[in-house]
Order: sequence, then structure tokens, then C-alpha cells
Amino acid sequence: MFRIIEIQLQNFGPYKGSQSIVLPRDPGVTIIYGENMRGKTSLLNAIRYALFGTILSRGSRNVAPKEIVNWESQEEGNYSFSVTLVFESGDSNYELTRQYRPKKSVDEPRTEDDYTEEVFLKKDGSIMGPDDQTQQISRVLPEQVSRFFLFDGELLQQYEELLIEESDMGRQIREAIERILGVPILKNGRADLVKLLEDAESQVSKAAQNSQLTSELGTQLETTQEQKRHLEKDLNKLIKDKETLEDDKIGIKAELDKIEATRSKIKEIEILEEQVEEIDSKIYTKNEELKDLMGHAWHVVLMDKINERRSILEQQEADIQDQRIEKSVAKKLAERFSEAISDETCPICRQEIDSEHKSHLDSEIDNINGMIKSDGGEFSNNLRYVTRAIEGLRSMEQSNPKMRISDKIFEIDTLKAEKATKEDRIREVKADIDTSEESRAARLIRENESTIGKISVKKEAIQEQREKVRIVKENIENLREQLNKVSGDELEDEKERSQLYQDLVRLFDKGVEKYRDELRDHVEQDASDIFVQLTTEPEYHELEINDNYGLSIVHESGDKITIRSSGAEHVVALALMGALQNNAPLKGPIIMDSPFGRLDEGHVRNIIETLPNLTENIVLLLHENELDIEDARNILKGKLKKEYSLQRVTARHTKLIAGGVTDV
Amino acid sequence: MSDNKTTIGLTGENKEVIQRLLPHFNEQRDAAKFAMALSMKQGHDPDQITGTETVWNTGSFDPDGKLRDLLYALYPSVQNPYIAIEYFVNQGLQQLSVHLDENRDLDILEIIE
Repeated sequence: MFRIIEIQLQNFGPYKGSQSIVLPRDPGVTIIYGENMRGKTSLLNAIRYALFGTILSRGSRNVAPKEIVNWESQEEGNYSFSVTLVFESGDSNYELTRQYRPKKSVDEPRTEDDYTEEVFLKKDGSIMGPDDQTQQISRVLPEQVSRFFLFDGELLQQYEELLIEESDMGRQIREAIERILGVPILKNGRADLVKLLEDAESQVSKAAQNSQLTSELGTQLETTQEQKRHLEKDLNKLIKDKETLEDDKIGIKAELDKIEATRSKIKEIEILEEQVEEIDSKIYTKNEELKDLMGHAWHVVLMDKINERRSILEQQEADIQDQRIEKSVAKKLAERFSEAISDETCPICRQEIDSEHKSHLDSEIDNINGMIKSDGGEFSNNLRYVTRAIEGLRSMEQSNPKMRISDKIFEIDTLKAEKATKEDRIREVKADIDTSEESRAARLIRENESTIGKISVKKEAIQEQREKVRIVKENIENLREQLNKVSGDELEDEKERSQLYQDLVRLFDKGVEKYRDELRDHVEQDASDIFVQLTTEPEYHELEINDNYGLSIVHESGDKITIRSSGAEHVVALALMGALQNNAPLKGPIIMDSPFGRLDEGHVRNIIETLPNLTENIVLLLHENELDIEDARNILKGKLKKEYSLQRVTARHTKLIAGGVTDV
Repeated sequence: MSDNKTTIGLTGENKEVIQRLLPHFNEQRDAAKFAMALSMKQGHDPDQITGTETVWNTGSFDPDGKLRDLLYALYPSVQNPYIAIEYFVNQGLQQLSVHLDENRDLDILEIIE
């Protein structure tokens, strides 16, 4: 049983200075209450950091340790933090300290390279060597299964990895689960037997070579066995290489996650640069369109002048038309005068016209004719000129592109402003990027792609190699049959020994399978039992396990629930944790951060009632909205062993206070 | 009315000015017309200029004769519109040279407003 006794914090996150939490030794529940941003997740991270040196953000991403140093203490010039975990495992007491501090040569650390990390593990008072430390910690709690003990309600998506058959992370977790469930003990036994079988088969072929009857077959058998050994060795190497690459891939992914902030900044810059390029392209197009319009801009510049001139010309045209009418009327009048003179009678009053009046009319006719003839054609020319000029000017008014030019310039200016904003942001983000991390991110992205390619090549090679092994095994089987026919009773001892090991290997094969199946059955059964206790949905009948220990909810109709809510995910994850606790030789604490955030009242009550049965050492990190303190006390009664609250001093400083919320 | 001038030219100095305007136009001819319009808008009277080097022939500068007609419409006393156009182009380029020096770039809106 792995049991945490005390967590000591030094400038870790909001926990300024030295602070500690002492957990009860009696089985039961400890509740730590805190409002949002007081440091509940930091407490979970403190344990995670002490054990594995990793800190996870809400997005399941690794956080750089330098981000964790208490801000206030940093401002005071103290850039170090540490976590000490006092725990017991088996019959021994341990004190594990992980400390993060600036290198001695660095006064004011800026990047991760300016820091160093130190780990000290004391077992029963004696300090262990570095290799022993790592081994001991992974024995106490392998990191890959830590998620089942250190439970962040917000990181539920991790549990879905187990449902993805091809997931690298799922494979790692499955292996780790099997490790704590004891499967490797049988696997190692089988591997030893395979080695003994190979030796026995080798003895058969050697013995066969000693007899004249079987010598040739013995030699062939030995050669083929040797061939098989080489092929299997190569195959194992390929499998190991592939697994190493898959582990590398997970490592690269973890590294990439660590510098996620830088990556996302680089990504942001890439996106912004693409957008700037797009804007440039739009500006170019709009400029080309503007240039086309500028071919007519001279119309615009002259428009006022053209309007003004057109008005003058129109006035002239009107004047000319007036004159034209005037002349026409005068001409008609002269004609009437001529008629009157000729008739010697006034056409209006019908009186006779005397000579005095005739003379007056003659004089008027001369005047009119003089006026009509006086323009000498200029009159018509003027009118033609004016009319043509007006038409020309009007046509220019119609093609006035002023609005289109103004609109286009406005569109270009808007795009330029947008571009400037984006360029400002690029400068801002670039200034914010740690250049060493920028190149590191680029390198990791390349490595990731290259590793994926290599894994694919290895998979193909493994398939080919398996086929070769299968063929060579067939050859061995054929040779063995021939040898049996030819040898008769000779080689009996060797054959018997070989047969015995073959049977034992088969037995172990079946044993491993059976043990695995039984373990899975037990985990499935226990998880189902716990799930049924926890869920408030009566139609959810049980859980079904897959080869990866991923659990699916089964409806009473027998259908699997393929898409489940985060609340259901939550309950399934808890059920798996409980089942693993029941079946693993390793038992440990369950520490849950925001465990009820996504759950309704019914589920919360069910979980609280069931929790004390899952394991002895349970710590809940809660805010009051998740679970009312009085409700918790009423439900848990004597099983609630201790309460802490996280008290705000400043936004960057939280104090751990022993005692319940109401006691503070 | 006589159309007998067949080319339009620029002074050496104005050839440089027109290069500065070129980013805003598809071709020099458009910039020249823009300059001409600016000069006419400013109220300068038609005149003639000496010391230019031929850049365009009038057929390519005013293929549809619109400018010529415009000159006739605006300035009835003009005998040879292309002499006046050449004058206005060069005069306008001088004004734009000052504008470019003051604004660093062509402020189209300021001019067309």
C-alpha cells in the first residue's frame, strides 16, 4: 500500500514560503476546499511533480516548471521551488524531495536552461542513489498509471485513449496497467521457457548429427534452427525498435506539449503571416482595379470645370435658340409686310394702306432682312459647336468614376489598416517567443514527422519478418517429422525434453492469456459493480472491457453507448480506478481535483458514498459549489477524517489552513 | 480650328515626375492626363511649352479624340488643342511634383475632391 503522509511545499505555485498538508493515517477521506484559482490543481501537480517531475495544465499539457515558481517570491528574488512527499510503501517510509532552482552561475533565470532540477529520495532515513531512486519511484507508482490515482476531473479525455485500439498512449497505459497487475511475471516465465526450448531443440539436432542415419537431417535442422533464431532475433529487434520509436513519439509529443505555448505562438504567427499574404494579394488586386479606374481619373478632376462649362454652353444654346425663334418670327413678319404692300390692304383691319405706310413697311422689311442676313452662317456654326460641345461634356459626366475611385481607395485603406494590425500582432508575438524554444519546436515537429514515418517502415518490416519466421518454423516442423520417422527410438531423451518444453511454453502461453482474460474479467466485473453503484441511470447495465482495459457502457438492451457525456466519462473513469485498486497488487491513494464539476447532485451523492470503499487514502480537492461542506459531513460522517481550506492572502499567495471552511 | 500638332512631349524634369506617379497608374499616358486635368482644374489658361521631348503621338495619346473635343469645348479660342494639352500635361506634372514632395505619395482623394 502506497500511502501519502505529508506534502511539504516551498514556493510552489500560489503556496508562498513553506507550507504543508498532513494526511490522516486512518483510512478515510480528506477534503481540501478552495475557491477557483486558489491552488487546488497546484496541489495535485505538486504530488505529480514530486513523483515524476511533470506538471500538467488544464489542457493536459505539460507546463514548464519555471512557470510554477511563486510569483511573489520571484519578485523578491527567489526563483526556486520544491516539493517534499512523505509517504510509506510496503513496510518502508520514504521522503521524496524534488527541487527546482536556478543554476549557480545564473542570477536572474529566464529560460528553462537557466534552471536545474534535483531529486532526493530517503528510504527509512537513508538517501538512495539516483538509479535506485528512479526505480523505486516507478515501483511505488508507475507514471503511466498515475492518472488512476491522481485524478483531475478536467482531464477526462485521457481515459478515452484506452478505448482507441491503435493509440500509442493507450498501449503504454495498457502495458503499465498489466505491469501493476502482475502480467509480466508470467511473461518472463514464458520467455525463460522459450530459451530452454531452443536449447533442447538444439540438443536434438546435435544428437541427430552423431548418428549416420540422421546426420544429414540433424545438420539441416540445426542450420534451420539457427536461421530461425536469427530471424526471431531480428524480429524482436524490429519490434523493440518499433516500440522505442512509439515511446519516442510519445516523448516528442510530451515535449511538444511542454512547449505548446511557443508552438501555438509559432502557429499564430504562421496564420497571421498567411493572412497578411492574403491581404497583400487583395491589396494588389484592388490596386490593379484602382489603376484601371485611374485611367479615367482625369474626368473626375475636371468634373466641376466640365459642369460649369456645360452650364454656360447650355445657356448659350438657349440664347441661340431664342435668337433663332426671333429671326423666324421676324422673317414671317417681313413676309406679311410684303403681302400687305402687294395687296395695298392691311391684313388685320382690311383698310387700305397709303403710301406713307407702305414706305414705313418697306423700311421695316429692309431692317428685318438686314438682321437675318447679318450673321452670314455664323449663327448655325455656333449652334453646331455648342450642341456638339454639350454632348461631349455630358458624355464625360456619365462616365464619372469618382465614387468608384473613392470606394476603391477606402477598401485599400481598410485592408492596409487590417494588415498593419496583423503585422503589429506578429511583432508582438515574435517578441514574446523564446527563440531557443522556437527552433526547438521546429526541430520537434520535424522529429515527430520523421518518427511517424519510421514507425510505419518498421511495421512493414515486422510483417515481412513474421512471414519469414513462419516459413522457417514450417521447415523446422517438416524436418522434425522426417527426423522422427528416420530416427525411430534414437534421440528419445532429447525429443522428450524438447517436447516437454514445447508443452510448457504452450501452457504458459495459455496461462498468460487466461490470466489476462481473468484479470480483465475481474476488472470488468469490479468496474461494472462500482459503475452501477455510481450511476444514476438505471438503464445502464454494466461496463464492457476491451483489450486495452478501456471500458464501454452497456445499456440494458445490450447496446454499447458509443458517445458518452463528460459526466458519464467521469463515472466510468472512477469505476476503472476503483477496479484497478481492487485487482492490483499495488494499492495507493486516490487524489481527485474538481471531481464533481460535471456531475449532478445524484451522482455526487453516489460517489461520496462509494469513495471510502475504493481505497483507504482519499483526498478531494473541491470548491464549495461542487459539494456543500455540511452535506459532505452528513454523508461521510466518521469517514471524513480531515478538512483543509485554501485561504487567499493575495492573488498570488494562498495559505493552507487546517480545519473546515466553517472553522476558519 | 487646327489639329496639326501630332506629338506630345515632356520636359526632362517631368519625365522623372511621371515615373514617381507610375505606381498609381497602368501607364504613363494615364498619369499625364491626370496631370493635365489638375492643371486645367487650377484655372491655368492654355499656352504652349518649349523644351519637351516627344513621348506620345497624338493618335495614341487621344485615340478617340475626346481630349481634343474637350479642349475645344472648354477653350473655344484654342486653335491647336494638342499644343494646349502638352502645356497642361507639363504644367500639371510640375504641380504634382510639389504635391509628391509634400505628401510623399499621391493623395488621390485630396486631388479628386
